[in-house]
Amino acid sequence: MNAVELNKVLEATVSIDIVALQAAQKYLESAAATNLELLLVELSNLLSNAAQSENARKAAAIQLKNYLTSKDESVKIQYQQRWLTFDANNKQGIKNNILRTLGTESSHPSNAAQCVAAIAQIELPLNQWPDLIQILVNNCTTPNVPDPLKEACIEALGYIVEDIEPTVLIHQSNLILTAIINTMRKEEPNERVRVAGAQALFNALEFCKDQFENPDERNYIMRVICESTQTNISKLSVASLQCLSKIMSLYYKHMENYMSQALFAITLSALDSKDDQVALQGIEFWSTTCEEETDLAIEAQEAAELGEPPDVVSKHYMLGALQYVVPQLLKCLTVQEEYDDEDDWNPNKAAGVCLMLIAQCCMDNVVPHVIPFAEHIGHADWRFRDAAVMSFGCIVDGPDPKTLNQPTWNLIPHLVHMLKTDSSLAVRDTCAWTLGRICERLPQTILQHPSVNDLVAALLLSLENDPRVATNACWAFSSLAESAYDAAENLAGDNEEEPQTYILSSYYATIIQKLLLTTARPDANQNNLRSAAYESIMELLKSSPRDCYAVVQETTVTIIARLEDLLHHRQSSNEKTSGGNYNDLQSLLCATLQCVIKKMQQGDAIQISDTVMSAFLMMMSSNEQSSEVQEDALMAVGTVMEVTDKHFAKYMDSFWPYLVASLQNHAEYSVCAAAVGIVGDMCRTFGAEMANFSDKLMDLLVSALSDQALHQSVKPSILSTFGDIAMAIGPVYTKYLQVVIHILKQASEATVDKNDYEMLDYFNELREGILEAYSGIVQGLKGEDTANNQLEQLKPYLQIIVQLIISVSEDRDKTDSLTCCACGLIGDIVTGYGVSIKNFVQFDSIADLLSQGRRSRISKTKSMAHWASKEMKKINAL
Amino acid sequence: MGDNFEDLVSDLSSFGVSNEENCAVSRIDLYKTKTNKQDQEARRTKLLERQKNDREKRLSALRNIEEESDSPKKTNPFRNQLMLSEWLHDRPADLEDNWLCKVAPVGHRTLVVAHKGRTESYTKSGYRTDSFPSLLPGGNNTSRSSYSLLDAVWCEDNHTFYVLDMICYGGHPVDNSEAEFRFYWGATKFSEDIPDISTQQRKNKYPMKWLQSISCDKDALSGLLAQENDFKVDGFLFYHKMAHYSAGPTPLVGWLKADMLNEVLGLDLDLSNYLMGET
Repeated sequence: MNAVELNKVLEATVSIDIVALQAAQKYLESAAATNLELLLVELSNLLSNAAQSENARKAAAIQLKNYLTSKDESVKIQYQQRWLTFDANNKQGIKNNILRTLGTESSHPSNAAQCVAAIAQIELPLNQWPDLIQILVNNCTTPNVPDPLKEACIEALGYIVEDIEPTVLIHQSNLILTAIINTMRKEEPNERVRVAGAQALFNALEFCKDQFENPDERNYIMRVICESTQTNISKLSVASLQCLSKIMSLYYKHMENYMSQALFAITLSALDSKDDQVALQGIEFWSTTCEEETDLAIEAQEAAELGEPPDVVSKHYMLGALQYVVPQLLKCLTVQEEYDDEDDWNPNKAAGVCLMLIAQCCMDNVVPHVIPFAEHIGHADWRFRDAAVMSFGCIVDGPDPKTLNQPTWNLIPHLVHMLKTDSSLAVRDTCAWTLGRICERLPQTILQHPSVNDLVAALLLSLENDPRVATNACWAFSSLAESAYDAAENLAGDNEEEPQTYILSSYYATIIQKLLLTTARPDANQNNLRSAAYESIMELLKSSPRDCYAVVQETTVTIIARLEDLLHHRQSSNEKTSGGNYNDLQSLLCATLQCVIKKMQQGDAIQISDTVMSAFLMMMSSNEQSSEVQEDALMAVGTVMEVTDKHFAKYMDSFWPYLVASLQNHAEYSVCAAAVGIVGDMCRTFGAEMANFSDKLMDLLVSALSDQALHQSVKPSILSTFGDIAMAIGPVYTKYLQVVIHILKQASEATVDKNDYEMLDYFNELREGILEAYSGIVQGLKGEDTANNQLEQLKPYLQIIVQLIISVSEDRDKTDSLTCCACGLIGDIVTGYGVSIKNFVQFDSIADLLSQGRRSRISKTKSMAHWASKEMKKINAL
Repeated sequence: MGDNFEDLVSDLSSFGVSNEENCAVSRIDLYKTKTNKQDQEARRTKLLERQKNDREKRLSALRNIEEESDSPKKTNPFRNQLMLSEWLHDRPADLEDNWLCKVAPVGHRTLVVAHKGRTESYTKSGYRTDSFPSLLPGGNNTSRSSYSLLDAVWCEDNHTFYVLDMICYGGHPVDNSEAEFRFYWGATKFSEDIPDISTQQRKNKYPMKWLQSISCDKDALSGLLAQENDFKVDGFLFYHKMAHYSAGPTPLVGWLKADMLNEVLGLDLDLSNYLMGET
C-alpha cells in the first residue's frame, strides 16, 4: 500500500460515484483484514501530511475514527480491546500523527480532534496517555499558540469530556475547565476560538460539580458565560445560552443569585432577538426551567408524603416570569412559516411547546395570561387566528379543568365553526388539534356542550380535508370516543357491564365508515394519516357501547377481508403500498382485528376465529416479516386465545412452530417478549394440559435466559413465566425444580449501581419476576390434591427463598409492587408448609415487610399483607 | 443496491459531530403532540398489564383470597355469581345445531354451595337463605374436604331444588367447560354418583333434581312441551353449547316464555298444555 494509492482510495470514499465508492470501501476492508494495524498507521501518516488533499485527509480521519469507536456499545468495546493489543510503537506513532494534525486542517470542526478523543477514551482510564491533557491544555493557555491549533485542542477537550467517565479526569477537571473558560473570555480575540470554547464548556458542565459548589469559582464561570451571551457573534451567543439552559437543569439550586441579577434579563432579551437561533435558545432556557420546576414540584410532593424535606426547593422562577415570558411567546406564535415543513424547528413551534410546558408547571396561573389573547380568535389575519387557537390548545393540559370550563365553553362554538369554514389550512389544522385536546382533557365540558353534534359533523367533514387536518380529526375522534365511553360507564355506576349506549351511538356507523374510507385515501401516506385513521377505528371499537355491536361485527368482516386481500394480493391491493408501508398496514390491520375480537361476544368470536387465526399464521409464516408485524401477530394470537379460551387448543398444532421460532428469536427481542407472554397465557388457558408442551417450552425459556445477547427487558417476564408453568402443571413441575431454582438463585445475586435509575428499575423488575416465580412454584407444588403435595421437594431451598425476602425487605429502593409480591410469597410459604417451617420465617425483617405492606397506599398490597399476616398469626398460635 | 448505498453513506458519515441540535430534536416531538393510545407501544403496554393482572388473579384464586377491591367494605363472594339469561329476541341461525334447551320451573334462582360438610343456599345477591346437609360432595359431615357449586331453582311448593347448571363438582371446577359438557357431566353425576339426591333423607334434607337438556329441533321441543312436570313451568332457557359458565347476563343464554316460543322461533309447536294453564 503506498500513499498515492491510499490517497486515491480515500478520495473515492467521499465520491458520489457509487461504483468508485464501493470499490474504495472494498479496498479498505481488505486492507483492514490483511493488516489493520498497518492500515491505521498509514491512515494517520496521510492524515498528518498537510501536503495531501483535504478530502483525502478528512476521509482518513473518518476511517481512522471508525476503527477506534462505534455508536454500537458492544462493537465499541470490541474495538477498544483491539486497540490495546496493538504494538506500542505503532500506537505511539498514530497518536503522534494525530496530535501533529491538530491545527493543520482547513475544515471545521477538527476531525483529528475526534480521533484524539476516541483514543483518549480507551487510554486515559488505563493511564496510558498521561501527558495528553496537559498538552491540550497548554495549547489553549500558552500565549501565541496559533489560533487553529488552539481551536482544535479545545475541540478535542470538549469531545473527551463528552464521552469519558468523569471519575477518570477527577484530578484534572480544574485544569480542563480553566483552559476552556480561558478561551471563552472576551479578551480572546479570535471568534472561532471563543465559540469552540463555549461548545466545549457545554460538554464539560457535568464535570463542574465541585466548581459549582464553590461560590468564587461558580461566580467566575457564570460571569464568563453571561458575558459571552452578550455578543453579536450569533454562534457564540447560541452556545453560551445553551450552557445556561444546561446549567439550569444541572445546578438549579445554585441559581438564585444569578437569576435576578442576570439570567432573567439575558434570556428575556434572547426571546426578543431577531436572530432565530438566539431566540430559540431563549425559549429553550424557559422550557428547561419549566421541566425542572415541574419535577421539583413532584419531588416536593413525594417528600411531603414521606415526611421528609425535599433535597432541592423550587424557587418558582417560571411563575415569577410569567408576565414577561408569556407575551413574548404569544408574539412568536403569530410568526408562522408560510409553508411549514414538519421537520423544521423554529421559534414559532418552540414557543408552542414552551407554553405547553408552562401550563403544566404553573397550572391555573397561566390561564389569565393566555385567555385574553385566545379571544382574538376572530382576527382578520390568519396568523393571529392561528396563534389565538394555538395558545389555547397549549394550555388545555395543566390547569384545573374547572378553571378552564367557562373559557372553553365559550370558545367551542367558534372552534367548531372555524374547523369547518376557515380559509386557512394552518388554522383548520390547529383547530382540529385543539378540539382533540379538549376532547381528551376536558371531557366534561365538551360532552355537555350543545355544539357536540356540530363538532361531530365538522370532524367528519375534516376527514376529507388536507391530510394534516384529517390526521388531527382522527385523533379527535379517538379522544371523543374514549371520553364519551368513560362518561357512559360512570353513568352506569359500578355495574361492570358495558354501557348500553352513549352520546356517539347515533353517529357511530357513519364515523366508522368515514374512517375506513380515510384509510384508503390515496394521500393517506402523508402526515401519518392512515395509521391515525386505523388507530382511531381501534379506539372507537374498543370504547363502543352495546348498541353499536352490529357495527363492530360488520367492521370485523371488512377488516378480515382487507387483511386477507393484503396477504393474498400484495401487488394488486388497492391501497398503494410498498415495503415499510406494507408492513405498517399489516400491523395496523392485525391490531384492529385484535380490538374487534376482544370486543366480540364469545360465541361470535369463536365463529370467526378460524379465519382470523389462519390470517395471523400466514402473517407469521412469511420469512421476510418485520419484527413489528411478528409482534403484532403474536399479540393478536394472544387475544384470540384469551377470548376463545380452551377452544384455542385446535390451533396449537399449527401455531406451535411459530411459537418455538419466536421464543428462539433473541435478536428481535420484542418478538421473543411477546412469545413469552403467550406462554403465560397458555398456562392460564390450558391448565394441567400444559404438561404436553412444558418440556420444550422450559428448554426454550432457559436457553433464552442464559443468552447474554437477549435484551435484558425480556428476562424478568421469563422468570414469572416459570411460575405460571408451575401453577398450570402442578406437582409434576418437580422435574424442572433443580434447574429453575439454580437460575432463580443466580438471578437473586444480581446487583446494580443504585445511582443508575434505569438499572434500578430493571433490578426491581427482575426481583419481582423471581418472587412471582417462587410463588407460582409453591402454589404449583402444593397442588390441589393433598395426597400429591410435592412441597417437600422445595424445602431444602426454603432458606434461599427466605434470604431473598429478607434482602427485599431491607432494600430501601424497593417498589410497592415488589413489597406486594414479597408479602404474597410469605403467605404462600406459610400456608403451604404450615407450622413445620415456623422457625424459618421468624425474622424481624419479615415482620417489618408485612407491616410496611399493611401500611401501603395501594389497596392490593395492603390486602396481600393483611392476608399474609393473618396466615402468619395462625401458625404462630400453634 | 439502494440499501447498500445508504448503509455505506451512513457508515462514512457516522461522524456525529454537532450537539447544537440536541435539545431541538427532542422538543419537536412535543409540538402539536397527540397522546397515542393505540400505537404498538401502547398496545404492548396494555397487553403486559393484562397478562400481569391475569397472573395475579390466578394466584389469588390459589391463595383463596378475594380479589382486592378499592372499597373498604368486604365483598360478598356469593353475590352476583349466577349466570343470567337475556331475552331471546330472534331465532339464532344455528339454533338446531348449537343450542340446548331446558325448561325452567317457577321458583327462586339459587346458588347452592356445598363445602366444609354443609350445604348452603344463596339468593342472586348473595343472601344466605338456608344451611342444610345434602349428598353433594362436600355437603354433609361425612364429606367435608370436597366442595360443589350448583345453579338451581328453589321451589317453595315442594321444597325441591331443580338444578339448571353445575359450576363445580367434587372440587373440580367446570365453569370453564362448555355448556354441553357441563350438562352431560351433571346428568351423569346425579344419576350415577349420587342417585339418592333426588329424594329426601337424613343426609339430604331437600330433594335436588337435575333438569334435562334437549337439542332444539322441532321434535325434541315438542317432546319437552308434552312432558309432564312436577313443577309449574316459568319459561324456557336456551344455552349455547359452547358457552362457559360466566357470572351475570350473557347473550349465550336466551330466555322465552311459553307463549313466545312459536313467534320467536318461527315454529308451530303445540302449546295447549301451557296456554291453558295460564287461564
